[in-house]
Amino acid sequence: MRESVALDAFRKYGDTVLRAAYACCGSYTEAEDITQDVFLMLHSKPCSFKDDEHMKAWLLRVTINKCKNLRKAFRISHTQSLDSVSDSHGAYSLDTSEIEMRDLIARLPKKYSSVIYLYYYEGYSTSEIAEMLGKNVNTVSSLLRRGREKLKLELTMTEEDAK
Amino acid sequence: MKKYRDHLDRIKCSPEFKAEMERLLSEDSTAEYADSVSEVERVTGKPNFHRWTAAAASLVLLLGIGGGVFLMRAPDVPSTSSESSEEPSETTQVERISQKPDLKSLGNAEISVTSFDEAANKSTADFGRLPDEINAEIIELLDSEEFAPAEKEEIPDNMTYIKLVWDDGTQMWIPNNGVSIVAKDGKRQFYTLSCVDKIKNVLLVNIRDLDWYRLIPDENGSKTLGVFSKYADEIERVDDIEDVPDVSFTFFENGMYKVSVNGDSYICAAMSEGGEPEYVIYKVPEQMCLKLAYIFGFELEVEQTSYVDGTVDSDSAELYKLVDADIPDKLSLSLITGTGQFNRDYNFEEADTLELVNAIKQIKWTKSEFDTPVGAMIVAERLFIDSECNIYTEIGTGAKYSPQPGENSAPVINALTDMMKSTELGEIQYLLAASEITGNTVEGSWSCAYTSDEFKTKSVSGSGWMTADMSGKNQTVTFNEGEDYCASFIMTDGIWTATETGSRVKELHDEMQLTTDENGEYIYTMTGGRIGEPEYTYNYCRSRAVSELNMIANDMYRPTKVTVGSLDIEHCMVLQAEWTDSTLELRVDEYGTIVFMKVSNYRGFNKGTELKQYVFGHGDGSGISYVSGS
Repeated sequence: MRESVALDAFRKYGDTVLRAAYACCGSYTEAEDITQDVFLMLHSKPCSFKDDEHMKAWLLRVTINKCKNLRKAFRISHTQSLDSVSDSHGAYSLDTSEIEMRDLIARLPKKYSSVIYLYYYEGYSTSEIAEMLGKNVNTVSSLLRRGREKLKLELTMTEEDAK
Repeated sequence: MKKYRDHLDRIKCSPEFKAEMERLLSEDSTAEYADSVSEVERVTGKPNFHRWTAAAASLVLLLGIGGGVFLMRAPDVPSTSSESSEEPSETTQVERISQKPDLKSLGNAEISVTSFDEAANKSTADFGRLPDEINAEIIELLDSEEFAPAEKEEIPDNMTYIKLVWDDGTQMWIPNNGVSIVAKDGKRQFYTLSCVDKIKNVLLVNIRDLDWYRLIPDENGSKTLGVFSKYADEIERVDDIEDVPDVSFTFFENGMYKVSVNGDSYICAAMSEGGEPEYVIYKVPEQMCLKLAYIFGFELEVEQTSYVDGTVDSDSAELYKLVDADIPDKLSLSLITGTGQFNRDYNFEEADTLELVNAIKQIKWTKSEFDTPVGAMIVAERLFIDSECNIYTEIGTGAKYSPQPGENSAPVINALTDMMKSTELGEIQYLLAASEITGNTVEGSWSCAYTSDEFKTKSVSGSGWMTADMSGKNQTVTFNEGEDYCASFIMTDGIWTATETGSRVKELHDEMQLTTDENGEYIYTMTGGRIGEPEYTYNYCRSRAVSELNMIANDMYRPTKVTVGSLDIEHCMVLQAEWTDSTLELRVDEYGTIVFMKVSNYRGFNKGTELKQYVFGHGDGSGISYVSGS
């Protein structure tokens, strides 16, 4: 039987989507849920892609949108505290600094976290990110700048607290 | 960022998750999907009352209060049909879905907001037709909604309703909180919708499109005290204020809102900027901010307060008033560089002025008599701002306002820079302009080939070495150095001379006048009149680039295709005109130096001149070196 587009996509980009979701929401459990949702969506409504890069960009965009929706849902629901999910960290164990980093990621506003992830981890240019997120390039640049400052500030504060 | 990347590197699907996903994705595409999706959607749990009331309070600020009585008294609410009011409160999932209104042919929508004041007088704000894209977004939200039936008794009091009326006759009342009503053909149904908040968000972030601006008072209204903004994603409710004020909101007929906090009344309006909620508060003293933050459920940032609280000096207040009067919400800045005949104007695309106005009002100023500004000048409507951040009401004759000693003028300069760079086109213009003000002399190799004049009777190709200072007054260009025919062009303080071996300078540059002819060496000069530039000089290219970009910024010309991108440190722009093979390609580095420019019969460029190739390089020969591809 021919392998489904979604299964093929998951094998290629499952980790990428999970990582993007994690980068945007800071929770492995939520990231798994979102990853599952993204690929099942593709499974139920298969799309055709020009190439793998196109597929990857589509998956990342959908993932980021799902994270955004999840955040919105959280805002009107009982927010799940980080402590309650602290033991759900997936395929690896976290040391103290990893937990700090995860908490920083979780605290970072989504609009920053998505551009920071796409730029610093996935290596997309600001114009590519702008196209992917439907934003102006200048907006992406300023989000990147502010997000980087915010992350840096948080990291500095965390390191100072540790001393 | 390394720590960040290292951390993410370790995030991978667990073997169990991977196996489960492969199982799900190997099955038929419809199997078990619904169950799986619910894993993500489970977060839409019970509403958090405090957060909800905070959100609702902000909407109340927008929409007014008293809507609760609307249900009882509004004459335009369709009468309750007996079957709808007797819907069972417990229904199965299948029944719920079957009761969903038909949303397939809703068509366009009209939107209005109806509310009542404390005396139960009805007020309706009619906003006309909902923009198509917002309507589509709302229909999409409704389409994914279950439409859970609700009891009529569940409708709470004191609610304001957004009313949507679609072309097919369907009407919908969306409350701040509680039960929504959908009516068609004289019957109405009551539903609890989970997407109400999302619908309100859609409306909120599109407030400008809905013409909510008319709610903000005109010149006769109150002065703006300050601008309070917070990004939606960053909104956190202020929970630690013990002194909970008594609050009431009154919706006036003119669209204004009165907020009463512990008996004191304040006038409010709201707007949105760039898709993000932003709140403008009128006549609210600074000390009220925390209480308002509580009311709105937002953290409020006071960006400007000193102006209206009476503590500011007269010079500053005078300038603030001028700024209010002379700077509109959106503005096209111009930047003038150089002086006299070397002036070059940069015209930037329209940008929001809010940051600039706030920045000017953040600092205190001293007024002095008119002065002659030196250097670059930014023109902001009727105000002129120089590079030292002095503001002139009129060049040469008006007043001059300077930042008081110790004041930090950086926010003003930053705001101006942000305005100039607010578009991709502006970014390149800004870099070009900045290079004129702060750039150093450039030098490098060049090569070009072009034909000039409309009859293309003159073809020139050559290469050489060039230097140019950024003022445009001093340049040197060598042409085919070391070959049988060679020449050098030198501009000193704006005056060109040329020395050549051979006799082609006149052919190369029509405006040159032969002054000396000795032993096969010719010396030409060109003085007076306009500054003629050989087409292969740096300043010629920059002038052409500025001219083209200005025409676009001024909306005098729109290329059919504009692409902008970046190539590491370079900003690239390709403009394509109405006809095929008519393009202008420009690359500007991070210092604003043109490192590449190629023109192909662009808009009949300079009577038909075609620069097929123009390449600059660094002085040491190892720097930037691009090939045009032609």
